[in-house]
Amino acid sequence: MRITGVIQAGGKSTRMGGEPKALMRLAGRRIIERVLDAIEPAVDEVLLVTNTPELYAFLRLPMVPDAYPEGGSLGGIFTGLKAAPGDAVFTVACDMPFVHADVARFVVSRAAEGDVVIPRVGDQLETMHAVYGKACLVPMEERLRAGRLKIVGFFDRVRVVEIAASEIAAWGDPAVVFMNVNTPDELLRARVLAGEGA
Amino acid sequence: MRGGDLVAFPTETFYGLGAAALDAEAVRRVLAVKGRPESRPLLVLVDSVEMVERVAAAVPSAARGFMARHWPGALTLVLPAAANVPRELTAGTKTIGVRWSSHPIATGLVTALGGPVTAPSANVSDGAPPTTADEVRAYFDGTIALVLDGGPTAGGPPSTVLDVTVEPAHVLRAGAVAV
Repeated sequence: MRITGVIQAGGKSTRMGGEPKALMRLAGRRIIERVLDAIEPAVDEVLLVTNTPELYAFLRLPMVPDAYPEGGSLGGIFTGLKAAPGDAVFTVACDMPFVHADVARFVVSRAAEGDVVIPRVGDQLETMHAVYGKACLVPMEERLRAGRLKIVGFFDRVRVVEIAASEIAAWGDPAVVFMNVNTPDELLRARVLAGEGA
Repeated sequence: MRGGDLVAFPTETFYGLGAAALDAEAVRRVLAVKGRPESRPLLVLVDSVEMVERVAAAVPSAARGFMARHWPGALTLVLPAAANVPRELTAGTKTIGVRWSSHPIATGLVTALGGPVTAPSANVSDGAPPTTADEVRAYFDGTIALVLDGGPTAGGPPSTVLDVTVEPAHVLRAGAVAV
């Protein structure tokens, strides 16, 4: 089974204080580079979904523009899945500084088990650290065209396999592995976690 | 293809012969190089349900169920054709066969063109359907613009063809997908 890694760098709120979040540095490395480093060994190739390719050209990844710019995260996941050469995508967001190579490899290793393979931490399904198979395309497109953008909204139409937080805990605190940085506070917290001090 | 040229490409079954499906002149060229009688319709590839709605006059809810269960994949759905579909494509049947291929090159070609692409097998009428770019070249060298070489394809049975203009849906050709 061929799996394409997809980094989501579309959407509108990707800036913090004027700078794209994904380009901020943490322990000397841009957040998006940390994401790429973690997922690249787990997948067959990586592509990037973005409407601002000039910002990310330095990564030298194939890039696709978001097919549904108003479609939120669901639109980005759909875009990556549709463009992916693989049978399924492993989708992550560009602003998750602590994506872990072993967790990524573990989730990808379960890809064949369902149309969606997704970690759950408490009440939260980690939609931005999940595998989506091509069978999700038609149900996703239906929801997008109806303007119903909740990612999990199509899950009742496909086979969903959940990965429990306990299966991942050996590699790191799930609350950290899946965290993204949306606010200056979260970035500060990430810097502490990355050992940069406050 | 935007200028009417033909491009052969791999699918999950055989190599297909592609033209911009809404360009009547290009479709005539497909029929001509294949030496195919105009009495048989050609199926087209799409890359979205939205694109289906551009070539179909109506999409019954049963059809949407088959799409959700089997696309992308080797299932061709026969639907009532929209008025803008060239007669050369429907062969006067007023229906059109559509499918969303699971092959990334086939679907990538549709996405790049931004419209449906014809996909009869890339062989002359009495020839065997090709599973390699070399076999395509042996049929059409010099007569088509390009062969996208995606390596050998799986061959096997062609796509299943299911008529969803009738209820219950009726299998016109048993093939790769069991419905």
